[in-house]
Amino acid sequence: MNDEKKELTPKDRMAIPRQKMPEQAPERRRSNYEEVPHGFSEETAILEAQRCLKCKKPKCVEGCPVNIDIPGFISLIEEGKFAEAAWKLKEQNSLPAVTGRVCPQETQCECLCVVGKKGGPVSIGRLERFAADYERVHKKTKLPSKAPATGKKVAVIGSGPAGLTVAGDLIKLGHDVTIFEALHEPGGVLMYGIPEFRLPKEIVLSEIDFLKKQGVKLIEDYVIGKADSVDSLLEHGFDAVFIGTGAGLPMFMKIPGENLIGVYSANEYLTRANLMKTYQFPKYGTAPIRSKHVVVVGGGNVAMDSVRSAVRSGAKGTIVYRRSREEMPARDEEIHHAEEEGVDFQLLTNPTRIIGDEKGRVKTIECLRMELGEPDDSGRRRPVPVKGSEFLIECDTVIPALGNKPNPLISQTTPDLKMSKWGTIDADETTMETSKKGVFAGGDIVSGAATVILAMGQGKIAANSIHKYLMGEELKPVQESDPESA
Amino acid sequence: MSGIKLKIDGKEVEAQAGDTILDAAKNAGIDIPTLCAHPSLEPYGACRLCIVKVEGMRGYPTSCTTPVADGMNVNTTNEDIIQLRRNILKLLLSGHTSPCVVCLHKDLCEKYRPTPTKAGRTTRCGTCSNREDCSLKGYSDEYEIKDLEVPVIYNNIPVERDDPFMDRDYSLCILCGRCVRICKKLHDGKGAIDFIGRGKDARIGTVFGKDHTDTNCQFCGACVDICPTGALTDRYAKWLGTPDEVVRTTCMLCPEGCLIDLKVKNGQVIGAQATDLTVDARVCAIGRFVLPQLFENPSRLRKHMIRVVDGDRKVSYEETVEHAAEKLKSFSGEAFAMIAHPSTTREDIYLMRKFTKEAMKSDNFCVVKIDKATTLVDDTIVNGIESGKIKAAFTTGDYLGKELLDKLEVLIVADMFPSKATEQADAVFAAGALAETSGTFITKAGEAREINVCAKLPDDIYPDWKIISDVAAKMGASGVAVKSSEEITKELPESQVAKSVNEGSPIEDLALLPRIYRGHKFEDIVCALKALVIKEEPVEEETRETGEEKRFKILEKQELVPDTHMLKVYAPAVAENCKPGQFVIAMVNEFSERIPYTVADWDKDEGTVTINVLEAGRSSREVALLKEGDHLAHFAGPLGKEIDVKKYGTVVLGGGCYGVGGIYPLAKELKKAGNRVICVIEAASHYLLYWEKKLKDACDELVITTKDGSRDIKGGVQEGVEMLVGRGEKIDQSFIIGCTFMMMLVCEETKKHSIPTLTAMNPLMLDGTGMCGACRVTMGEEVKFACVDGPFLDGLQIDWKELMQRHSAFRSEEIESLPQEHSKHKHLCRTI
Repeated sequence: MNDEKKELTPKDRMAIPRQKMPEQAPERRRSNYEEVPHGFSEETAILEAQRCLKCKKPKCVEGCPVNIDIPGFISLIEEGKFAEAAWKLKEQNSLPAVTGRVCPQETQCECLCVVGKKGGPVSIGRLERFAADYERVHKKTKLPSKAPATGKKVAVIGSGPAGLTVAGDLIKLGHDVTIFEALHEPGGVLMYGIPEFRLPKEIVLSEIDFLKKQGVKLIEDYVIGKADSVDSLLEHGFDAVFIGTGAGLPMFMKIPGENLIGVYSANEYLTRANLMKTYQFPKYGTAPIRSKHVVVVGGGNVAMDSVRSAVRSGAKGTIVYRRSREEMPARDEEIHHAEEEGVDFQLLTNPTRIIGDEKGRVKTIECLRMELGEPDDSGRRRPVPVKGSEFLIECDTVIPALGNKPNPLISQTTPDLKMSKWGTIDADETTMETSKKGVFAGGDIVSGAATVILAMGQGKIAANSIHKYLMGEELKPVQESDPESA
Repeated sequence: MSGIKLKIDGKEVEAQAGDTILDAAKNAGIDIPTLCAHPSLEPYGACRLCIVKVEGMRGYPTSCTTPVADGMNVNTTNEDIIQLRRNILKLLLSGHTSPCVVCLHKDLCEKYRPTPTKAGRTTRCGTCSNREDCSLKGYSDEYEIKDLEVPVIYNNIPVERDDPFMDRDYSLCILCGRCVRICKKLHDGKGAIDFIGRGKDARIGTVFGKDHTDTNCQFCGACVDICPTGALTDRYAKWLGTPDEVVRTTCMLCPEGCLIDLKVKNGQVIGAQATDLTVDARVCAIGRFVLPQLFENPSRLRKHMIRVVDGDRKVSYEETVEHAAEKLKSFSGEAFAMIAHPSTTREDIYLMRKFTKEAMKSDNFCVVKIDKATTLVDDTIVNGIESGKIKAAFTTGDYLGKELLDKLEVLIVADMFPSKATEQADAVFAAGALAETSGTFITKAGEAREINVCAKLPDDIYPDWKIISDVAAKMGASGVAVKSSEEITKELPESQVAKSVNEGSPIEDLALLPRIYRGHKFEDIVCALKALVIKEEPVEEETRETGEEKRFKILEKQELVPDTHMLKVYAPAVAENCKPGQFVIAMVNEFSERIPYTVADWDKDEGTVTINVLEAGRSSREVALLKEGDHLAHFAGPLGKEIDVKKYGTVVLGGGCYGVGGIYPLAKELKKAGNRVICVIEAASHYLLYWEKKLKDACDELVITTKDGSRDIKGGVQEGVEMLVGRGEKIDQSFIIGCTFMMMLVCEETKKHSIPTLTAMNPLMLDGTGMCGACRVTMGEEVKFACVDGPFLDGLQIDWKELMQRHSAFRSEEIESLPQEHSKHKHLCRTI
């Protein structure tokens, strides 16, 4: 990089156009599992970083669930100190390469960006991804400094985004951290749920490897709630427990024909492909779901992941969603990518039954057209069926992607843990403390089906509380505006 | 020759001198049952099933060995003969694995389980790949054998599956000697197999029990094709079922051009066989075993691709044609070359030559020459590319080295398999060829033989001639375009006799087997071939040592009874918390499926968990092949809800198959809780019963049932329950563990007597921790997840038919994932 620095005025900065991230062409990417956006080059990253005004009171940080020092890491990129930028990120965020890809920045940091008021906001997510990728690819990872050992042991249940965040934060504070993972690979939804083309598995594994290098112990194939209980962890030397077991039990539509062969929950559909690597069948033994036409029911990110995976397997993909495009909970970018890849959107449409052939395999799905009526509790306009509008879609696979109920394994075996009526764990939003002493929880097991970054945010709060709890401090609500206070 | 006149079953029959009674009967349309006799073999008289009564002759001569004589009066069906044949069949069945033949539930079983279980060893018809074709089963049904009445013997000979292509389960062998005799007949008296041992130890085998690869076995497959039972099977084809049709075509894989019959089911080639079991009709190992595996091969190209700026793009056929035509347009004349493979129809070669000449105005066309495993391209073309004169090429395979490929500006490839050429090509056509096309082929002997379309090509994939024709049409060379292969045949000039390329024939010499097709070595496509052509030494697979830990180490392993493997696994956390009724999920290696197994026992002090695994597919096969001291890659549990251990009163525990082990912990705990525990176990036959003593010690009464009646009560658990109810037993609760079919039948019985019945559900599972929902079952009005709500659910409310249907969801994938390599040479195949 150039040593000579020319001072950029805010005006100069505002004049730089928002840098584009190169993407794979839709025709090409619909037949491979590679990532869609390629990431910034060093040059474009610096240009993009120069657009940041380095606000004194940065609005963007307020939008970040994990309080990343956004202007700080962007300044380092601007100076060409890419690895340092990554280290800066990791002070607050254990998984920058992940969040740089899957965070909904458009509704968090970037929507608050001052630059965004004129032209596009600074591409914070893409810069985050760039710095994290640079550090990994150039093998510049640096173990963060670790506080002296406290002698306190923490059990983290589940190695998804919440659990990994808790582990990452607590290990730096000098605690002895063990993660228990029920599946045969760590990463939770990052491994089994989010497809390779959105989040390469190599990245997740390298982030986990980084935690292990810092001393986090990871035990796979260990089902807490079954092979051990929360109580027994506390009895056997763990001073605190964090529950981050995520979502479980997929929801179905409760319409006729849902147990036909060819109806798979989005969880099953994605797990087969991602965790069990069925795209490499028969080298990998798990059977792939081979389809000609996949109908995905739902409008969230998981629905988009499913339908885009279907397209990549060579099938035709259709989304059936009962409201309109505006109400879709999926990230705009995901919907846009799906559209580009040729997914057919049947909006304001609701399935009424699935019809099978004589062998019990899906043949068609019957749907009903809807129109939007009065707003419901969620503030979104309630879809109302249009009488007599039934029609059939021929297909061989139906994927309900309607969300999940929380995993019951822990609640079944931890009687004194207070649960909500939805089966989620009741935890104090400001401390992530549960009704059980020394037990904290976060992620989808608390909030129902939400996002990776929300889980990480809760993990962050929980780690903070656990630290205070272990050190005998008062568990005051975390000061949101001042992350350094801990 | 004068006709001999005789009477068979009252019918006047004419025969030739030298004919046997069997021949005469057959010609007269009279059916006599035979097992050892075969039209391709000399009379043998071993099985004695073809006995008849001849007036004036003592006893019951075998019709296959008795010559006809003038005036003979033969009876083939009198009551005595029928009775004798029944006895012969019973004796044969007593040494064959035949409990299903006499099972009370045979009809229901075949209705609900239309395909056999893919077991390692065949222990009954329900686990026999040859169920549809078995002569012994056919005659047993015909002669209405309901009971064996003789001791049932299982020979317990280990399955031989170390050789390529064939599985040999001599426990099913009835010593008819067909295989030994056909092998001798086809291979000049020097068969690879013979009878070994005498009396009750007699069996078929190789000299000194060598591997077939170390004998003069030519892998012609005749023994497999002639075997009347399921003893000898084609490993690739065995579970694919019976063909809808058999189509005769010509194998083009070497200049021999042998006629061959391809077995076709649902438009897919599932196997091959020689057109006859004669010396002249023999085929080589490549034709018999490799050819049929090419079409549905996992490595096959299934999508057309064109190269665009940022990489490959899978596109439609039309787009590929357009792209290829566009690319080739500017290279007409000497800048273009076309290269083809000799294993191509005469029509296709003609059209490619014509394409080169008329569409491309070039003379650079060559059919590569094959020297063993090397492909040789004409020097003129090689030089042309090297010197830069040839800038564009259209090839039907991987013929050019990296350096030559790099020199080309444009490359179009039409092929069945990927290669470095398809990686670099500007357009790749996934092509149909061999049995997917039609035309003619000139054999080494100069005969023009027909190539017939046997297999249906997927939508959007076309044979070579169509690709060439369409590209030509797109380029405006309408003179080259044709509508069918037959149109080309009409255009063909008088054929010239091709000169023999190699001396000798691959049929007699494995060293001469064709090795390469379109630049792809066969052994890279069909890995089982490696043992035959490369003869690499087997390498001991690395055992994974997890260092300080012995987590998931197999401390004990035993095949309790055929196909049921007991594994004691070191997993202290699972053992510590295990409760009766729970299961574990295991993976043998990182490639494995996650498979649930019922826990059969555990020991907290030792830190071990015992599971009994039924070998019934790829994953359980992987488990079966493990040895003591090996490690499982993953082992998670205990999963599912335990049963409610309390005092019920009298409890019946029903177990079948792995469930016999599964009920053991239930018996122990329920007895401890003060119940009167009666265990009812079932097995197809006495040789499949295990843990009798263990169970007996754990409960108050053990009731044994066998499907063939070879031990105690004839039938299954439901007959056991029937007996208990019949003797006045008041049953307060029952728990049933076994296959879905068995549990369904038991529930029919317990429902009759209103016995509360909990059944251990075993649907397909993926994660086993309540995340994927694959394991959902309908119980009454509700949908339950077997992994978190079960495994024990109310059997009286389960929708069993739905559950059985759901089990078949991945049936074809389960067959496809079965390993084709022989286990000794597994390491050679891992990369595929």
